[in-house]
Amino acid sequence: MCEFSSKLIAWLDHELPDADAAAMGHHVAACLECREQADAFRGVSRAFAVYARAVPLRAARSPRRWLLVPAAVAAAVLAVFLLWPRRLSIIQPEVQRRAAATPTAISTAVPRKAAVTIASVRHARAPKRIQKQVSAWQTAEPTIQVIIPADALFPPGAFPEGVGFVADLRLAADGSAGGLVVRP
Amino acid sequence: MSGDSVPFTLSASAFSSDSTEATKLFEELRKPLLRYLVCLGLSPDEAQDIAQDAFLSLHRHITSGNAQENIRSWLFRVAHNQARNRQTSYDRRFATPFDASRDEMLDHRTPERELLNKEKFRQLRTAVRSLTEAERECLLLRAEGLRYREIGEVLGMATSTVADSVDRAIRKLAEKCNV
Repeated sequence: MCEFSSKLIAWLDHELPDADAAAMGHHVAACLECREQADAFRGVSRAFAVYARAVPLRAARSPRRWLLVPAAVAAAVLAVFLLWPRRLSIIQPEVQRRAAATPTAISTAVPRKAAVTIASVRHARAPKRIQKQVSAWQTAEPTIQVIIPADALFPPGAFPEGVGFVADLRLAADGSAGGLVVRP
Repeated sequence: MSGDSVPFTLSASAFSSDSTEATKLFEELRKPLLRYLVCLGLSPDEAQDIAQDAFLSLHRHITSGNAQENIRSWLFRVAHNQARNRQTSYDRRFATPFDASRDEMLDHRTPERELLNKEKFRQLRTAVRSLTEAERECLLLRAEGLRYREIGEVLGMATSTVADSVDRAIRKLAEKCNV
């Protein structure tokens, strides 16, 4: 082995005193063995630097999961507002008429119920109660069904995996929007 | 020695008000410090905690009138010692803390990882495992751009010991993998 080899790495790291560094430079220019070694040491130093940099500096979280929450809420709010005027004008008279005829009055307007339904998906039992009320006057098959995964509405862990909500939008015989049911 | 000027010197004036000098220093050193701590085997969250504490200590240290010659090695030393204190319990959980983060990285596709193919990465990992703790720490600090003298200050070693450790470590890696 070349006698200069022992100082090769310190030389590559610019850690030798100036006089030694100069002598080393002259030697390496002339010595094939040292040049080859220097190349190998440079290569391995670079590889180690890449290796050391390939570490996660933030805890692993999926950003998309969190984006789903505001996106789903925005979609739900948009759906309610898009349906609101039409149901107000067409459904309300019929609901009020039925409310007058039955003692279990659904006196509040349907749209308001629908809004409450969306807001109260947090309470597991709320959708059932509303479904019962709605089914009293609405038997048609759901025309539009929207499936909302629970983890899109709530932070991870709030619901067991795979649990979701189904929003059924029913249309009455006259083509008006009958009701919105959200069930687990 | 090459006679480079000492980097990262700072006086109390840098921290006197919302100094841009202190901000610049924080931005320059934050990532290298975090990387070093994670490589020591801490979780990213723990590393963030320790790095933040180290910067706060630095701030207190400087503003209380202690001029600091080399901020970089001071900061790394404080963080290194805190990491070591935490790791006394960690060492029981992970036999090789340094490699714990590495295994996760095999599944992460980062631009850096692309540069080393999987086989070379594994080779290097095996070689890194064969290093002593001191050799590994010397190489990690060296990879973050610290001079031998600074590494000595961080790890509490003589500069000549650092030079020997780096020399031995690089030769071991070169011998065990063709990168």
